[in-house]
Amino acid sequence: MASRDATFEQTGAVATMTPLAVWFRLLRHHLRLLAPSSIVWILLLTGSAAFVAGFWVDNFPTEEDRISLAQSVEGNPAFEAMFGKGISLETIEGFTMWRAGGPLIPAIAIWGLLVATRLGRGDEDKGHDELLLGGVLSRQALLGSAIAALAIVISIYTLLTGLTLVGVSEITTAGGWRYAFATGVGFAFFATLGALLVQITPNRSIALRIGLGLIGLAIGVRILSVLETMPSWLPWTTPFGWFSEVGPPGDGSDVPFLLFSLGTVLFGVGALTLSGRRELHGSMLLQESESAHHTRPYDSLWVHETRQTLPAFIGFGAVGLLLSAIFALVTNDFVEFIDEFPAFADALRGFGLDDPSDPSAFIGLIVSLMVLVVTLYAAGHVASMRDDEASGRLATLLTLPLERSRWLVVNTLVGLGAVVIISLLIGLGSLVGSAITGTMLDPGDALRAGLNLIPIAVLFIGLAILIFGLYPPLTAPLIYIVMLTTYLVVMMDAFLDMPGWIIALSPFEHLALVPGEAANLTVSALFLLIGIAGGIVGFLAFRSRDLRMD
Amino acid sequence: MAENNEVLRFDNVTKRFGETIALDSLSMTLERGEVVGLLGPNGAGKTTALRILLGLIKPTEGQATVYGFDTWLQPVQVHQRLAYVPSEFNVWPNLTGGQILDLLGALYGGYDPDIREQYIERFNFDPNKKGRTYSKGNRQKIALIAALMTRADLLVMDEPTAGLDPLLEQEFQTVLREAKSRGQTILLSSHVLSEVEVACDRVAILRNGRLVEYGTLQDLRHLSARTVEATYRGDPPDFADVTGVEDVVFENGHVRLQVTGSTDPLIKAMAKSEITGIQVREPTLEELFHSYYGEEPVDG
Repeated sequence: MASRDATFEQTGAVATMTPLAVWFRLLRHHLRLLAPSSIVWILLLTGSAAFVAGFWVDNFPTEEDRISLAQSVEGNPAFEAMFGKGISLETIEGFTMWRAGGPLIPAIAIWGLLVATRLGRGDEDKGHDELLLGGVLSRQALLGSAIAALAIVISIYTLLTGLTLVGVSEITTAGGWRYAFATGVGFAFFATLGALLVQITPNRSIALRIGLGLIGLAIGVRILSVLETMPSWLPWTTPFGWFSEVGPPGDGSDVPFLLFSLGTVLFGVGALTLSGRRELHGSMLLQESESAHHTRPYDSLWVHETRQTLPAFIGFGAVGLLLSAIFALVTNDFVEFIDEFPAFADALRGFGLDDPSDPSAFIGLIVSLMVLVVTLYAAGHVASMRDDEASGRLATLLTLPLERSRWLVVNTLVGLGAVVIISLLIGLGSLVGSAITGTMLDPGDALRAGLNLIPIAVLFIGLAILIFGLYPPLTAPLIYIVMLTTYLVVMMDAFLDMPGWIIALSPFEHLALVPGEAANLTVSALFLLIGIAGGIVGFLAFRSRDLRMD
Repeated sequence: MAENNEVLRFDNVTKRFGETIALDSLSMTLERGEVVGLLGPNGAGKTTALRILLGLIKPTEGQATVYGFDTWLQPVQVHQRLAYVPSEFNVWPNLTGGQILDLLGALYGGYDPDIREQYIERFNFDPNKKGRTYSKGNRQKIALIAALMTRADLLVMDEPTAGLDPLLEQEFQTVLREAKSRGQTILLSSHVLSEVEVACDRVAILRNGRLVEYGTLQDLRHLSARTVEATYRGDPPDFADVTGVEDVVFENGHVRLQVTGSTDPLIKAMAKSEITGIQVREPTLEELFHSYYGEEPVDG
């Protein structure tokens, strides 16, 4: 029998492999796990940097334009809060580092954390590592393979980004590679941090939450450091502050490279050392409380679904509140900047802002940036419904006298309630932030700004339920792809020069910058209508389809 | 409406997933107070049958009813009288065992807290730990306690003892007997054939989505070959043309053979020789199972 012989031969071959050969097999396995998402991330990050470099060339063609740009933006707290410190913005190298690297470095940090915790702990939490460790490999070898795979991915990213920038833009060789290395070493720093966190926490989920919390905190400190009242050393306390200091070749600082590299080595060595000492499924520092006597009643679907969404709700709510408050701290600086540069004010009028020098215009911009916080929560809420179905937990509930429709309606209403509160928290954050710096925003305006985010969140909830009802395995991937693509289309509009009808397809394009401009009730009603219609179709499909478990 | 004691009915139920026929014209019933074992190897259709019964998936053809209620169209009425123990119970990682029991009991519509405590003690279960810290066996205990504390009329159990230690498996047998004595009906899908043999009144055997046998163990044994062993003096008996006899092995005045159907022709054939001893043995459930499946693995 051919197949039996083949199996026998393969088994025999594995039995005679050296530990090093087995380790290389494992490395290949880890690379295979990383490949699909890494390709998307690398294309997105490299492409974004190239677009920014191209944007600089197209939009600031003369020396005069470039000097004017540098004078107007450098040292302005509003821009520094959003993108980090600008250094030598009259050069393509300085502009690319600031305008591309500033917003992308938090995304790179999250990417590093996600992949490192997945490779470092994801398989272990699922019970796969028992199989891998049953052979000749130690736990350190396992983590070593994960780190090596990450190193290969980041080397590919650095190489592609450097080559792309140098090859397709006017950026100098030194400038292109400086950008590529700065972002690459940033990835390595956060990836090894992730590898370390999974050694000291009981599971990946907790490590991820702590890591994301640290990233959020570091971003907050970096934004706060732009305020005049803050000490000058404050940016050096956060990795995002380090990145802001990199700048172009010759004008920036090389110290951040040293700090990122040192951190990477320390975290990596620490992770490898701890991985050899801790027990499988164990933790070196934090222990999960096993005993948790409960006294509060836990006896209704409402309580249950609220409890399940609580961690995500608290996370997204806190991020929305804090980031909008921190951004709003620089409202005054923004207003002063607009007064000084009428050309920029004209550009903002093109977005529909009647009076860009009014503080409410800046608040409108901030809140519209924060919309992603609300829509990401909304999509994640429906994705977690699918997770319940795939894991079999939904089947457990639906073998009780509980109607499918009731479960879906309760779950959706809990998610909608959270969306409303997160939206209002974003409005509240902008009110508090602007009030701290002495700009009195009308509380009614802040409320309207928050409420304006709800219809678009309803739209995404409805679309996610539609996918969940029709083809559940695609719920999370499809809704995230649709959301991020439509968001990026609007963000990249300035660089890509895409046809108007493509931009018009994005719901984010139609979001009014309330309170800087009046809410567009027609658009809001349309969002609600499409969301509700999608939700109803998804609801009907869910009621009449088979449950699909993994 | 359901007839008298009928609890459950599969009426010509077929389920297709694309081109694959997972369940093929299944028809069977369960009477009140019966304990029925559902057997079959991987891909036999057991899980599909249970999911249809629970209203989680829709039959492509035919109808399944519990107490006369259609399992797909009237799942809530069905679930008011049914409790389910899955083979792999995925718990909510952030809830304690006690909270999960609270939730499942409340959504069932209520339960007796004393009964719950009784089972917690009998299964030696700690309800104060977080879901993510429970072992497979402990997760299975939650599913068992949640189902048993409801005193549902029909218990549907899919590999209920998976992950339990031998002492608790024994306790589970006692619990099953108690449930039966209270008049509860039980549908038990299990790979532990000895468990099914001890506990079940009837056994249903599925193969490739079809019901190949359904009856009491006694019925199945009558239909299957029995093993006959005899000792003799002198010339060996001649079984050449004896109806129903096969696999005859002679060895030093000892003969072993299999007989199917009536034993009358065999006894008449034996009477022609000097038989000094005879033993007839009924097949065990395991032997019955293997007679239907040959070398196929005994798995879910």
